[in-house]
Amino acid sequence: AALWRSGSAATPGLTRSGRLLSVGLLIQRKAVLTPDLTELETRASDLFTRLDFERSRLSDFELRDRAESEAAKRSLSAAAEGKVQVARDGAVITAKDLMQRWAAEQQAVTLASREAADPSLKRPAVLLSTDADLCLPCCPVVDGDASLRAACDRLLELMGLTASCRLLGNAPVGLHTYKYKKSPVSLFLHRAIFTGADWRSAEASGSWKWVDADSLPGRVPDRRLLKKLRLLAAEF
Amino acid sequence: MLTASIRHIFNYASFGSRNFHLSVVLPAEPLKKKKRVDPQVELERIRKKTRRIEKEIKRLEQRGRYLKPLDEIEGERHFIKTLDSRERKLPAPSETEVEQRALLMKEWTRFKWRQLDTECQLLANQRRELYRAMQHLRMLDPSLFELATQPDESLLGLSLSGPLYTLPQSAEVFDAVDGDYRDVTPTYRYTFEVDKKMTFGKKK
Repeated sequence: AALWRSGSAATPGLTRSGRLLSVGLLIQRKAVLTPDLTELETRASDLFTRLDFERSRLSDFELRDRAESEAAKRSLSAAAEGKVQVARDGAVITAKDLMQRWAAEQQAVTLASREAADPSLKRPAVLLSTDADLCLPCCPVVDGDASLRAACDRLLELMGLTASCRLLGNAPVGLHTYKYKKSPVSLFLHRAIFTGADWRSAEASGSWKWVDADSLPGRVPDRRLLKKLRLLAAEF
Repeated sequence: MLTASIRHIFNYASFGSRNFHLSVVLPAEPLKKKKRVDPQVELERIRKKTRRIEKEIKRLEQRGRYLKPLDEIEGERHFIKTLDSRERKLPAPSETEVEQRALLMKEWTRFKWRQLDTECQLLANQRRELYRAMQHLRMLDPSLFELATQPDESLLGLSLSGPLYTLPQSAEVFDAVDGDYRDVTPTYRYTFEVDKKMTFGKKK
């Protein structure tokens, strides 16, 4: 059966009690980048870091640094008084030398810019159709489908995302009922998660696009379905 | 005659410093008589002991090292002994700072409570939606409902990673080094060497 996207022409499917059964996939992509912290979160994070530091004890490395600093001060003061001749041995690596070396190594590492990245990567997204009138990928349950899960697997195969998506559970997570040409339709929504290495591969065909929660109102025409999608696609 | 003999005794025998004396106080009992030990029996005893120890070591090595229960872990003694010298000498925060910290903690607590409340409501709504969908499915087709209630075995072993702080660099900027991964994690094998004097050849 051809891919039947919600709202389009219906293909023959299973009917029960006069209702056409269909399954829809809520394919979610987790956030690729960590979201920006709010002002309160930043302040709280700084406070907790400071408290952790204040309550902590000196590590072996810090003890070594303190001991070497005190030894250096003593030897310098003794040298100033003319008691001991200080000869700096270049072969001895102190804790301060190590810290300078680590700081230099850290300077050499350059991270990619977060500001230059697409802001939508910091939020989870749902895969929707690029067609203006259509939204969720869905298809009717046919006689050949042993279960709703089998219908979802068939739908993923039609979309070409079997290898990069994982269905979560056999049970539907939501229900959307509507009428198509005066025929009642029961659309059972199943949750799937995108596990592919490159999230852009799902958009390669041009039929689908990742849409984050803020852009959902512009893409989903049905208000009841929009409310359900916002509920089901919410992240914790 | 009797008196003369008694007098003789007293004069010459009993209390004179030359003839009557006390020996040194003995702190221990006299040594016991040394038993003759059969060397073969002694060797056999030592051999049995080492055999028992080696068997125990082999059994422990096969089983692997047991991890100590968390309740019994006392921490490293080195750190406990040097706890006093490891204190950070930082200036105490001022009253203003303490007040600001307290206010921030209150604000943070309120924020996290609101977040928890929102998440609990979200979970409850999602659970209600799932229940509604399952009830509807059961009404329409009980056989499909039964199949939908079965556990999903494919969920075992699902692992997700991310999110990242920054996107990975392009190959022009940072080219990861190819090569084999060599695990250099230190592992300690406990070996027990038995003194050669204690081991003898097997009895023929």
